[in-house]
Amino acid sequence: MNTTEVTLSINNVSLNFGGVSALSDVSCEVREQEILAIIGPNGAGKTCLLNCISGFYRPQTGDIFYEGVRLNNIPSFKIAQMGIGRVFQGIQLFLGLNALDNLMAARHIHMKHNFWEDVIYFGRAYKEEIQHRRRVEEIIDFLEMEPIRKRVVGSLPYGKRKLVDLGRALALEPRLLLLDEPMAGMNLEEKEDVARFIIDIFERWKIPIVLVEHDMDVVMDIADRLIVLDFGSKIAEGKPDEIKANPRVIEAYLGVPEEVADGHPA
Amino acid sequence: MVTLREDGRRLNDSARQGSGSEHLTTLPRYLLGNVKNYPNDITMRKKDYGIWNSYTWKECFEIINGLALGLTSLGLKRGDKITIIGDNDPQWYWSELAVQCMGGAAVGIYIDSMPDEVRYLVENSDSVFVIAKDQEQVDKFLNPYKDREGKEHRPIKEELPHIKKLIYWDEKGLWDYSDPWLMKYDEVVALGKDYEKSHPNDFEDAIISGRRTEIAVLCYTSGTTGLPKGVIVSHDYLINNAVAAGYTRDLYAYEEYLSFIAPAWIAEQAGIAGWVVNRARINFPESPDTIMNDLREIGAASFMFGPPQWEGLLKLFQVRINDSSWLKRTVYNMCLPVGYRVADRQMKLERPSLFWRILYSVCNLICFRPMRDYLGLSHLKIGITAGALLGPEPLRWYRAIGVNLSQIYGLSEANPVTLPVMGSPTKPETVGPVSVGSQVRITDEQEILVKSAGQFQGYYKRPDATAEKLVNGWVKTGDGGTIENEDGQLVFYDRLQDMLRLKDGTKYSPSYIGNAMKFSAYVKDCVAIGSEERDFILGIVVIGFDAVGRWSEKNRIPYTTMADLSQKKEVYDLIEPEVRRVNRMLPAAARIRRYLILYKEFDADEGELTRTRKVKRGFIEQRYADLVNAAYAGLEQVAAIARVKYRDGTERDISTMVNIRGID
Repeated sequence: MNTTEVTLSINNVSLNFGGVSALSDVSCEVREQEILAIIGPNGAGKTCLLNCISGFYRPQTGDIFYEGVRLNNIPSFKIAQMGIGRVFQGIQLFLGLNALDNLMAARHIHMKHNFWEDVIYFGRAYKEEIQHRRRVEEIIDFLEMEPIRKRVVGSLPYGKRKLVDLGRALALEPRLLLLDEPMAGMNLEEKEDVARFIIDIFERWKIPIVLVEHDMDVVMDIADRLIVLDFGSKIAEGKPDEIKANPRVIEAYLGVPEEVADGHPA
Repeated sequence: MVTLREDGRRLNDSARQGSGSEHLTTLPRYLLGNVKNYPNDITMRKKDYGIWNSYTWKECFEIINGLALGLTSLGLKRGDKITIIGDNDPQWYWSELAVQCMGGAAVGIYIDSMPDEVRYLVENSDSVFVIAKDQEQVDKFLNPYKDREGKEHRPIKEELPHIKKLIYWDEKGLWDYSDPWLMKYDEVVALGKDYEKSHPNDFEDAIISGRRTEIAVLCYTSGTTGLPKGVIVSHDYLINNAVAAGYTRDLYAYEEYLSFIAPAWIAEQAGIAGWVVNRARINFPESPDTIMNDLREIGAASFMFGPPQWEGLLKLFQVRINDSSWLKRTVYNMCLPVGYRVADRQMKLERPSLFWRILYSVCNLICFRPMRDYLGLSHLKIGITAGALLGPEPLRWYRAIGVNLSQIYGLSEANPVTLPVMGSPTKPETVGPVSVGSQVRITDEQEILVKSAGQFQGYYKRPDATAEKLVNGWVKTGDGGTIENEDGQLVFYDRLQDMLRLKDGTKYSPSYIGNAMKFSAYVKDCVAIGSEERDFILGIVVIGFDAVGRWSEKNRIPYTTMADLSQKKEVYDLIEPEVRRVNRMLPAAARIRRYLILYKEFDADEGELTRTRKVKRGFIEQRYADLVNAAYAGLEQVAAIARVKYRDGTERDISTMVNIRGID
């Protein structure tokens, strides 16, 4: 294995909740310069895998290495500081703050001034604030969020909140971006926009992106590689065309022709 | 019928400055003058990354100078055209001025144009460079495309190899494009700065050899009938345009102007000319979606919206007021009728009584002024709507809250034809007074002919079409209209081809009559009936039950139902002046000769209106055939069976008499 081009490697990870096995012996890697999609039916363990990476769950066995560092026992906020940004499936934003402040809050891990400098404000805190605001504005420009910049997030429609969530993840300046169903609940037009943004993020910052998504058309279009999970195990891995042709994947996820399905009642 | 009008009033300072000088014959010459006289004055603002960035004349000049020479070093020659496609940005304005400095012309394309349209315009205009905003536009040139018939084409870049470079100003999404055919805007400017070192005099020489009759811009028509035609717009055209605007609109130096409508359209070209000629200060919104917010921050004194934007702003406010607190809603609902009442008087050019004036100023203080502030219209002197006719309701509403909103009329071939004059409001049924330096003539066929301050020099490479449009120096607009007698304001009816004919061949516009009638608070709808079998126009009027009901209560006229109220003699007396008012806007042969007031309101549930409240004329003529026939037969009264639907869903027929009244 060539370590220089692998950003994140997951080795034989298993995760159990009591008797329920959420992930069993999953191994995969995220390479530099790729959009990796994780697909699978509901309950297959996709989000569990992301949670293991960002430190919300601790796998019972197996290791996760990120840029050569073992993540298993590192608290999640430190993992975020190490450059793993994430967009959550359920939106995790400050609903009472406006879009701009949500993004500024994400910059907090990059702020260097201390409490007393904050109190005085003028001086270093002020200068830093301007720098960070600039970064945030670049992201607002990037995601075309200008019209909602000063809108309170709680008053925004779902699709726009998702966008703010994506912006918040970008504001962390991640070196690896985890996207958990960034297009769920969006209409076609919004999906196209987000797909465009994902490609733009990839091209602009040249960071690997891990994408969990149900919309097969989008996934097949934008992902370089796919991993398929079913009941906690990895059943396939490969390029979009290979996955489309893989009989196990078709059976588990993409759907089987009706006459065959009749023989296996759900 | 022939009417001529020329306004001989004195020009104000900014206008005189424009027309007076012998040397100021082209836009680049104005630019040079501005840089020399006011180098450090702020002349443009663009919101970027959430901050308003200002540009002085000097800064603009440096960029224009760099870009112009950069293009020259890449092969731009005098007389060449460049195509510009993008949102309203300073780069758009700079690009146009840069190419004009070198004696070339700019061709604007709307951002939502499809690749086959883009290709046609670039090819037809012989453009040698393309300046585009962003990835979306650049991709139109780099990717294969399908035309309207579904035929596959190679990329425009390959189809039109004579395009030397494609220059873009917004890098977003283009980071990984390595095609050497593409160039960054800033790179071209830097290239020009280098070029200047070895050719120090090229730029000024080019400006000095510019002539007023040279093509400044090619403005393409929309091409609804056949292929788009390139309207040749000279420097003379643009300068006269700005001078006329400077006079009538008081677009004086450093007035805040909001650049919003597409620069590919002649109306925004007036903005570009106003920038260099009148030194209006141009403000560019952050993005087209943030316009409402940016409008408020700018506090523009002058800008132009199409009807959709004006209506959008109104709707936005109505939604917000419904969500606001009880107190605010109450104040709004109490003040608005006062505003309407005063606005209605003013629109008839009458002065409201002292009582109403005092009441209005109170309402203005507690309601209208904060509203205007909220909408970003508090510094607005004249709001302009153009492109299509704005309906009566929005116009009345804006006038009621103290926004001086006026229609203007113009076309790519001749602009401006009308412009509002400060201090004398435009009548709502008209498109305003004829602008300074323009002349209007009405043919016997009711067609508007125009000789404008800004007049086109023909269609690019289409002498045949030019000969059709431009006859003896008059531009044939293809629009029907008239000059109103009292104030000489221009009335626009409709496109000639959309107007209907009476038996004697006289043309009339049902939509104009319906709209103009609705400017009365008492008229809810009006349908003008008339066809090639009919001798005259019959008006079917629907009164606004609330407004007329209140009026009759105040005048102690007892009534029971709508059917009863509508047939009162007093109500006919109330409506008659409104019919006469509209008739004054119509040629004698196409006036409303008889009218009747319907016993009910039009109802979408009964198919009389579309769901968007547009009157279905044909259906109404059929449904009320008895009334219509009686009216044309000359009867004074006719019995009608009215089906009344009560709120509980039951229906009942009631018979009622409908009066029909003639008007001499």
